[in-house]
Amino acid sequence: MTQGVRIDQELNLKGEVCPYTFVKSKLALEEMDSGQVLRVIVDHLPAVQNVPRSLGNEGHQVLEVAQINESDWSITVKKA
Amino acid sequence: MERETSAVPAYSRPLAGIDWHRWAALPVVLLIVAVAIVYTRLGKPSLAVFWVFGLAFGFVLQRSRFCFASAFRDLYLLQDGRVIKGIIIGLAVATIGFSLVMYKLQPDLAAGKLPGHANVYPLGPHTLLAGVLFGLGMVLGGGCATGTLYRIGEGYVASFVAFLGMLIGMFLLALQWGWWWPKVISIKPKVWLPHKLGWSGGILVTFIVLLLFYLLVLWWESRGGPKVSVVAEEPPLHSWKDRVRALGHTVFVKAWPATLGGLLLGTLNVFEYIYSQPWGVTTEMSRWAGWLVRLLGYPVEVLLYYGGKPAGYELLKNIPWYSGGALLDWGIIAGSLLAALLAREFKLRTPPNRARYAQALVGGILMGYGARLAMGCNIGSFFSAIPSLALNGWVFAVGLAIGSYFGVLAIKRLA
Repeated sequence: MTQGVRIDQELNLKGEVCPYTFVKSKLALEEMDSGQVLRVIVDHLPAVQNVPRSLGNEGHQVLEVAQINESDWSITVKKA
Repeated sequence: MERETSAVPAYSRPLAGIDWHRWAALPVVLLIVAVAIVYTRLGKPSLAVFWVFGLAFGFVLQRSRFCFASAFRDLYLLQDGRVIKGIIIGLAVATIGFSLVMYKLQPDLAAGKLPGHANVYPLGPHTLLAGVLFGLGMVLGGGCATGTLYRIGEGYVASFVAFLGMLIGMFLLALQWGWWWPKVISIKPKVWLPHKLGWSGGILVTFIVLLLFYLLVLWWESRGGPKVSVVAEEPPLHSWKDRVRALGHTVFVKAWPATLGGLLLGTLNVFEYIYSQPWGVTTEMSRWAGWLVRLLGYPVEVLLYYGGKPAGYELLKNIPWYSGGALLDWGIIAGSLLAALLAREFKLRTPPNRARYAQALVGGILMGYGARLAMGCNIGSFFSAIPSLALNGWVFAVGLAIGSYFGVLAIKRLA
């Protein structure tokens, strides 16, 4: 789904837990331009659900949530 | 994509791998059963009962991610009231059960007595201060008292640091209890709603305020704008085996809704009151703090908190592995560990940012001090106090709301 989508910034949040996964993603998005794409890597299962939902509620477009290996997930989001 | 709001796509299927989590659950189950058998054989079956209560609390807390710190924090940070609504439902359920139990224990209000073990504590400015300290501490420390225990079960190293902080905070309060108790706390009245408003009045007012609280949360959530619903893709169910597997997934893997968590925790709390007394967590932990300091050579029994009768904590009669409270608290950790292993969520998790440890320690100290100043934490002074129809529960709740607000301001800077 995200094939062909250019990732403008990647944020490694492994080890972080809620709410820092969300707060750091939000801060990163604030630094970016509208339409740019952020990819966040998390290894905290609740964050896999909470971060996309919370960023979606902020108006951003969540492009993909995918498990990339045994412990890590990537969340791809486009800034509104 | 021409959607109005961005929907969250379905999660891709988990990758296959060696399922060590499920195998590790086996020795944990054996240990849980062994502990129950050992205490029963030692002639202390009641301790085994507390162990089972703790396991049940821990399992439900982990499955529904029922943390009072997240509840208040997410309300401010995300306009998300899911967990706080679960708490309100738990309070409502427990209010019904507690009222029945208390009526049975103390039907005659004219006697002016309180029902046994109800969490009605002296109400004064210290109650509000304790709530503020606890609320600030729980948001900084990344979990309330029970939240810290169940996260230890999930493998959070930072929560273990918060736990040590709580023991320190509790001992600091114990050092100053000789001032707080005679000068501030003991002279304040215990305000029990049925004494002021009668049985029906006290119960009715509690329900009306809970309803208003719920409506306030709904209004607060509506300020956050439209919500995105998470649409998870469910595979079609064919055979009986598919359906059984789906049931197992719903119970053991998927997070439970917070409303279900609240309902179950409120119900368990009523059962615990019927069995002995309302759910509490930190009185026991303060005994551990005293017990550890005593091992280091400090004579804690000279302190009013540990040695004096008025406080009634009677530390030294209850060593950590031979009291109901201890089995309950360890049970919460063990129950959460089991739930986290079955859900494949257990992970020894160290924060990438070292400053997080300091934050957990400071948060824990504030929580420990606040919890004992109010004579209860988010459970004893709130989740078990409001159903006890005690005014101190509501005042502590206001303190939690204030303290966690400042906590959210702080963590935004610390992120």
